[in-house]
Amino acid sequence: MHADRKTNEAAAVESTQFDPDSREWLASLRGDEAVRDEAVARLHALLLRAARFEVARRRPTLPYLRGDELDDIALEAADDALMSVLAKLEDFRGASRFTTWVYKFGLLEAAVKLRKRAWQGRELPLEPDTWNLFASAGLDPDTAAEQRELLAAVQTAIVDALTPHQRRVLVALALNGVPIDVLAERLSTTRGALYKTLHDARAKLREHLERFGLSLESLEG
Amino acid sequence: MEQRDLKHTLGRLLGVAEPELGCDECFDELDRYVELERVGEDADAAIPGLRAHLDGCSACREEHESLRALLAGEQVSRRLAGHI
Repeated sequence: MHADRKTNEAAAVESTQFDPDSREWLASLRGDEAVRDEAVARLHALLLRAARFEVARRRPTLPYLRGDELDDIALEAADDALMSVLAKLEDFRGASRFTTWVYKFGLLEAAVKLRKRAWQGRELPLEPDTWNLFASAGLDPDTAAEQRELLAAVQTAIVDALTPHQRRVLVALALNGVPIDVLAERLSTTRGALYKTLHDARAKLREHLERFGLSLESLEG
Repeated sequence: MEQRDLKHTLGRLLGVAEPELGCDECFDELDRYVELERVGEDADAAIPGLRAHLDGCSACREEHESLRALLAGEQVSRRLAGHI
């Protein structure tokens, strides 16, 4: 049968490409019901380890969250990551160990949930109302003048060269520190689409500045 | 604001003028990139544009750091358990 031939070919490729541990994971996850259930349970445990690791790393920045809330976030992240891993199992090509590939899903889900939790209920700063951050201190007059010129050019470029959407995205992400996942959720878009907007906005800014002979590299120090 | 902070802020605003991956491609390659780093291979040559993306995207950079730290911690645990 065609499907059998395809499965055999895939197995042959995997036997040469994957390390033994990864092969065992894939075989178990594609095994009969009992084997698969046991492998899924192990997979969930692996993802929970990654999610708890991420929660522990970020815990100092989330002092207002109780331990049981953090445990719940880690468990939810592991549950969601498990769905993603199982849905994308056929995408695993053995470019890394299976467990490394799996871990990144657990870390991502936990990181996204924690970023969103940290900004829950907060208004997103989308306008450049923090230009006063740019006030220089303790610089000699020449350097201060150089800075003022560059900063004025950057501010002008942000207003003149960018579309309103590019401006909001750039200011929120690059100036005001809004996490990209949080902004993506509020704007009903994806992290990838927002980063593309950020990338294009940055390129426009650099191009605008270069027309005036200015660049980040022109700043000394 | 000190000159270094100013450069940092401008760096976030202007990004880097070199080809870079997007967030989705970064996620696809992150596991391979980190494993190459861990064995001392030239991960940047193997996966062009990923380092530039990590420099420009704080979320992906955090996830890269977490994956590195998780694997490093796991290796230490294995050593302590006598597996290596």
